[in-house]
Amino acid sequence: MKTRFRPGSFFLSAYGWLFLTFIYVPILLIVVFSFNANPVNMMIWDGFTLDWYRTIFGFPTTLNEQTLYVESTAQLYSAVLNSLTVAFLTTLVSTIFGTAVALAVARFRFRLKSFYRALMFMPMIMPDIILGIALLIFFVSFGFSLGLQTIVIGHTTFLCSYVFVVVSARLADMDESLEEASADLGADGWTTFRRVTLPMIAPGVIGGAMLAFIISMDDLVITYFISGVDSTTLPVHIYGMLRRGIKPEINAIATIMLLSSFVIASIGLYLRARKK
Amino acid sequence: MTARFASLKARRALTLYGLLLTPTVFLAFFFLGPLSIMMVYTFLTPGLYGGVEWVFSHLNYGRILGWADTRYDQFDPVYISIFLRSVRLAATTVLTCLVICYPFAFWVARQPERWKNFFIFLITLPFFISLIVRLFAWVLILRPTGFLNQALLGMGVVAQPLDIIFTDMAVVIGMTYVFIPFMFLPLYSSIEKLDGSLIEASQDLGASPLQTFLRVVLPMTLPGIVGGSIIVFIPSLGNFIVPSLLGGARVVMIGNLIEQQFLSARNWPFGAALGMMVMAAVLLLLMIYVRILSREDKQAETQQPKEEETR
Amino acid sequence: MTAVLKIESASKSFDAPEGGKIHALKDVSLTIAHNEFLTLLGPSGCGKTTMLRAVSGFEDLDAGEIYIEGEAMGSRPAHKRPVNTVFQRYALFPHLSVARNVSYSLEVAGVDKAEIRKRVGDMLDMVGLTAFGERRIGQLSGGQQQRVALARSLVARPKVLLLDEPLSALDKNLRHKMQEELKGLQHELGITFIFVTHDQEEALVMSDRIAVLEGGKIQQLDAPEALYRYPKNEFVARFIGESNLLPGKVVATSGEACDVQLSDDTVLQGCRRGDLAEGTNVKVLIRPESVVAALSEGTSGQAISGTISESYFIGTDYQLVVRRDGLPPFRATVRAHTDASRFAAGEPIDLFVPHDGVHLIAAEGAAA
Repeated sequence: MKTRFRPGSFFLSAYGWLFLTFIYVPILLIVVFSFNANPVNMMIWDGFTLDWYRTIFGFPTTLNEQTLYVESTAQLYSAVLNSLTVAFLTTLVSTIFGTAVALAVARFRFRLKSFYRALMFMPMIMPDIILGIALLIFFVSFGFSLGLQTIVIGHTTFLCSYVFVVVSARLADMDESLEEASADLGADGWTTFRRVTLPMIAPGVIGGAMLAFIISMDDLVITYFISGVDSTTLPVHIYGMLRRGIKPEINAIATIMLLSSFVIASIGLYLRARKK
Repeated sequence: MTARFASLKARRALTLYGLLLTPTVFLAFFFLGPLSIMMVYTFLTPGLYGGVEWVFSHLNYGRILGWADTRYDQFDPVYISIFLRSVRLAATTVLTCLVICYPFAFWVARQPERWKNFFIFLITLPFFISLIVRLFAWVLILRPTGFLNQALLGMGVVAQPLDIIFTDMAVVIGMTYVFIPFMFLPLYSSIEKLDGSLIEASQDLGASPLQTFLRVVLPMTLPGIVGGSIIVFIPSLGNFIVPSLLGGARVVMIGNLIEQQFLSARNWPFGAALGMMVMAAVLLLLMIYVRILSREDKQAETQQPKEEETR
Repeated sequence: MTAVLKIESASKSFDAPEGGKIHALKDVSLTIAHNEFLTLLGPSGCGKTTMLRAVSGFEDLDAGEIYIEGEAMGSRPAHKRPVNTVFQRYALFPHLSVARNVSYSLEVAGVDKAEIRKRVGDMLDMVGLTAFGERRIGQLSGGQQQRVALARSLVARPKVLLLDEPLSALDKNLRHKMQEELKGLQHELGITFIFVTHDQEEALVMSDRIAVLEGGKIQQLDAPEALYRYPKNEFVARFIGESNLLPGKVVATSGEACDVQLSDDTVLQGCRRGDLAEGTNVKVLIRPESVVAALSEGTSGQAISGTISESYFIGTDYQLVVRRDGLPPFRATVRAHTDASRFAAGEPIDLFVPHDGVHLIAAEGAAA
């Protein structure tokens, strides 16, 4: 019975692998062709080279001047630095805000609770272009100068929602009587938070923070509207490069970004697996 | 001698305020504030050289919906048609995602536990990869000199490079690729919950596989389908990155139009009014969704009376 | 005996989810002595948990006051009260080891390390978990978790230990064992225990006194045996043990004794407790196991005669339902003996009722 060939299940399996191919082949192509020596047509293999990586790191290359499309590496570096700065600050603030609201909603009874739920839900379902233009109008009409600070503010408005959702899920799993037990055993509110609540929800807080960091690093649309001239982030920088023309060194940049995404995702998954 | 303490209620209220004060002020100022002023902007008069004049105007909506001040701007049906095209492309994206993900989610749900988690990891991984990188991959693939055309030419399937990039199809492919994880996760969670014995029961009662699918599987996974569709539709509708990279000048969506108004045409009130169109569509969709949800909740409630909880 | 805990006219109500108020405590007063094992017994929703939470400081009273060793608690926060609680599902900290759970209250109180080590060690010895200090909570069985919870809340030597249905999660055998251990621990430590349960058997076994709660009020506060034999009202009579409650009327009194006439005109003699005057409508409580089936002709004494309508053999005993015109169905538990046919359904039977098996309760609505 068991060994009978079942066409339905065979085709489903074949489809499953095809699906995964569809997801991963485009990504693999970038990696493979980032080592392609052909400077004229990026998609025709012409031998292995590390030149594109050398280019973006500012090392001398074997390519002659004609084929070099060197964008200013300084611009690229400053974009990376901007992205990291924004992501770091955004993560810090939105993790605190998101966790605080999650605690309030999970552990207290108050009349405006459903309002806060809606408020934290709204930025997640709002098309990002709307938030982008709304923030742009707001900043300009109130005389904020556009720059890293406006990007941090803009990212925080929607990223505390993500932290809120992740931490809330964790809080819902946590037995409230643990906090009562701590108070009963003589710990005041702050001690209880530090010794019981925080260690219990730490995976949620860390998870939410990592999510916020990744999304902030990757955000293009909102940043595109509210970044000033001198405060380009990495995605906005690459978007600009792509609009000006497709150049081989973008492959190399993309590959490095892929690599760091994998590293971050793996760390996150490792932490989660270890918790269990 | 007895120390006085504030009442339990007062102490809890104080903690609550402490937790909520800063986030509330922040979000009121930087989230609700911008949205409100954007709505105000849609009723202002655009300045001649960018900027706004604080004079009431309904013409921003008029230009889109059919009335306009002929001295400056004509009513142009192109805006509505671009909006409708965006709706169409977003809907096509939703449908494509759904059709692609549904069998895959089914397949994953049938795998042994370890493999299941591995596949879920594989499908969520792209979410961690930069959006712009993922789209760049498709630019490389779909360009006239891109991977797909090189492969097809090399195999002799086509004589001329295919014209795929800068078409509706390219935009749909790009959006589908980017939003697949959004569709997969809700779909999977409702498919995984599906009790296999229900399918067996249906077959046992004489239903054909197709009937079983239509009468049991589909209704039971509907929450996942609807949820996934909505979270794919929303970012697709207002998207401007994908059409600008894969659609070029030929495929313009409402998102591109809004971007132009803000960054090149500098007609912010009009851009904001276009933004409100997107907002309105999203809100309408969500209202329908919430209606469906609450109706389902009510049904569930009448089916199983809530357990009395007393203390 | 001096009072360690005094609850004075405590009242507390909650907003009901459907609107309106739920009165969890209505003007409850209670005094508990040093080293007493007191049980709050009642069905769910009777107010027992609210009472416990008010003592531990998790609920403020709407009115009334709680005194611990003479000191008014008022709105004193939970972490400043000299009481500790064993929670229903233990609420052990899963991120800490057994020893760190037990030492928690000492750590937050700033007790020095050596002292903590010593007291935690002693406590773990006492509950028989000496070797388990470094274990994680998830690695323990239910009974072991129970012991950790006990050790954790006893290590700071509270004036009063509150136990919120701590045994309800254990299986039956383990529960009996833990009941004994708890009782022993309380003797050893000389700490007042306030124990909340809805399990009457558990309450009867362990308590010095039991307060039966219902509708936010203490229905009766008494030693277990008194509670069982002489319930003050119908609720207590029905809630504790099996009972036959027959409507009747006091027809004659003389000193301790009185005669009561049942609704079928049978007259029984019983003991009088309280002042039930002649003519008072009463409920007559006769426990099913206090009656004796007549073995042979000629056994004398007062009896209820009827016909067996249902008969269940349960090993040592028969459980019978006996019917007699004019009386509600009467349940009796009688010793099983060889002549089983006597207890078959349809057989006539005489049930003898000893005088001290007849307890009179003022009928609801009648003057007490």
